[in-house]
Amino acid sequence: MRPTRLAIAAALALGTLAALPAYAIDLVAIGKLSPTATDFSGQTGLLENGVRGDLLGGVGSGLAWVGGSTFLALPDRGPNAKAWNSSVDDTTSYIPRFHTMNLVLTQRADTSTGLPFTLTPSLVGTTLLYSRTALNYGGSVAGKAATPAANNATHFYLSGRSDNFNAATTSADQSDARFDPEGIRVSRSGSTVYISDEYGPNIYQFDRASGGRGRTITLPATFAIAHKSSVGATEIAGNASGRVTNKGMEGLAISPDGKFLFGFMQSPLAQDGGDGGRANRIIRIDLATGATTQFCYDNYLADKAKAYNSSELLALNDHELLVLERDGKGLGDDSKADMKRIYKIDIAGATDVSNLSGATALLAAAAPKTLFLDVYAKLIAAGLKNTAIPAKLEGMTFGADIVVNGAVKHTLYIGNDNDFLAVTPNGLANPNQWFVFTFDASDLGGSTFVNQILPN
Amino acid sequence: MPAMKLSHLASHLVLVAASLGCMASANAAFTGSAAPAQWTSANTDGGNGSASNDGSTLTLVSSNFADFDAAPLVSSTFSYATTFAAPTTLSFNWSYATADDGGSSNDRFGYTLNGTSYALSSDGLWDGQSGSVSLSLAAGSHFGFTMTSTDSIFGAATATVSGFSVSPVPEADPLLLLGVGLPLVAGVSLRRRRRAA
Repeated sequence: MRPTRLAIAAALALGTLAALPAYAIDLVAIGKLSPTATDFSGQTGLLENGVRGDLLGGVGSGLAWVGGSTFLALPDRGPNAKAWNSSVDDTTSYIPRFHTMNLVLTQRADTSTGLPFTLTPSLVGTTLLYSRTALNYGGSVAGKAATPAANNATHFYLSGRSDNFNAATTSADQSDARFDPEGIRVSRSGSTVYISDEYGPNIYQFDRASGGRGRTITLPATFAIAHKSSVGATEIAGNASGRVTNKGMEGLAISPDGKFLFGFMQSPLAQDGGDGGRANRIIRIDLATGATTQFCYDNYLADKAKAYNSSELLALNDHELLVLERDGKGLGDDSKADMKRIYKIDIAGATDVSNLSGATALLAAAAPKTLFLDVYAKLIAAGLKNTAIPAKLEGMTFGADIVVNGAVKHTLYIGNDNDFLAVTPNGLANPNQWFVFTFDASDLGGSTFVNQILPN
Repeated sequence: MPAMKLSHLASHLVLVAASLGCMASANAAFTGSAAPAQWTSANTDGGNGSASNDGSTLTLVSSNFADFDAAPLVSSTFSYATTFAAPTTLSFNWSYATADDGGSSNDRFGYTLNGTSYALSSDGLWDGQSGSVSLSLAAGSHFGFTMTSTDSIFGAATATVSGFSVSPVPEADPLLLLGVGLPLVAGVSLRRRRRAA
């Protein structure tokens, strides 16, 4: 037996294959945008907590490549790190949106990062998300109305505020105005986007030009919760089945041909072990038929002896997916980052767990994973302190190929969610950031890379 | 027995006449009773489906709005229809392609015959589809091609109709029946008389 095979066999025997070193993927650029910049939404007024409604923050919750140097950046439900009212978990009437960004990668050494490429981000546009049919809003809280002031007869804006729901329905109610966007992907036509919602969970399809919500991809009822509350802890305590509050559909991927979506829960469903459990679900949706298939992802890391939450999903091809796993430590809350990794899984031949429930049953059918990239190690090697690595790396996408030293390289962009905090509690600057990595076929362990097919 | 033979003869005559009629008046493409001017386009529920017909090929485009705020967001049907006064045999070939982000389920191609709808395209597909149809229509039949869009957004489907042919189904011509049939009847009578003699 050759040494490599021997090592793999030994690793398999020890159950540590997932911890094998990643391939020679390089960090080539870091780009930043000011955390005090404003977007182009026109929402210049102050939110309930005094934060501007157009603050450019949280833009790395989701990231999707459109073509060239154009990307779509997705903030989540808005600034809720600044306290104002615990009955709504300090969430605000921030209108969910996506930003059209220009992330220009130039082969010019960046003296500020010491990296060979310079990434220059700029904001191109901001698109607010709305429904043309009426939505369920909450009442007044501490004198603050829940219905967005921007609403009119044909535009009912979605909202980050947690009390915007109908208590008589399940969390799958698409008429609930509360919306926590976490994953974004461009459709095969390029003219619409799919955005996953952590509240529902649901996946919505929006018109890219207007931000209007056109269609809803309803997920199996087992993903929803029956008892909604504006307070996360109350929701968690009141539901034994369905998504865990604030651990909903965090990841969203699309197949290269745009025919399948893959939704990914941040933590196991309550019936599968809930937050802290290992058995996360990935649901594949056939966009033409609506048929769904579910797979189990085991987010336990043997070398850390811990199950982490999953933040993003990205299709490497039509059957292999990259999973971004991370701790919640690092720049943002003044703690020290320790684990930010990307794993690769293959769902070809994996068991459909749609009819299974519970961690034991799911884990027996989990798709094997291998380490693709240790992001933490790469950032440390590039000179970042563990306190400077963003705590919430949440968005990732492939970009355009580039040429490095005469060789064509694929690019991987990772964005951070800075929680709309310009500075951390200890006073560290907390910008919007993007990290660019390069890789080629030799880094894929035999997998084939197929980037999304986008219209010209 | 003689009565049965007469019946057979009459049937053949009608078939012959029908065949002759087909050969004489079959309409290749959209001509005659199926000429483009005979058809009417209509949209329900605020749709904007459309048709173009150059006399040989009919192209239907499903309702779809680039301006999201103008779209109906409800099901709407575009129809391209006509009424055939005479009994008609109708045939055509069709092909279908969709640019909808959600595939063929969102824009369905089919036809209506006297108020009843029939599907031609299949749901849940991305690739192109095609087929052939042949129908016999009674006099006064109302026939139309249809494209039904679930919401008129996120991409249109296109259906193409070619090889369209209508053939009037003629009733038996009394004069032809008299001209060909009477001598035969006379011949039968003559044979009967000879057998009797």
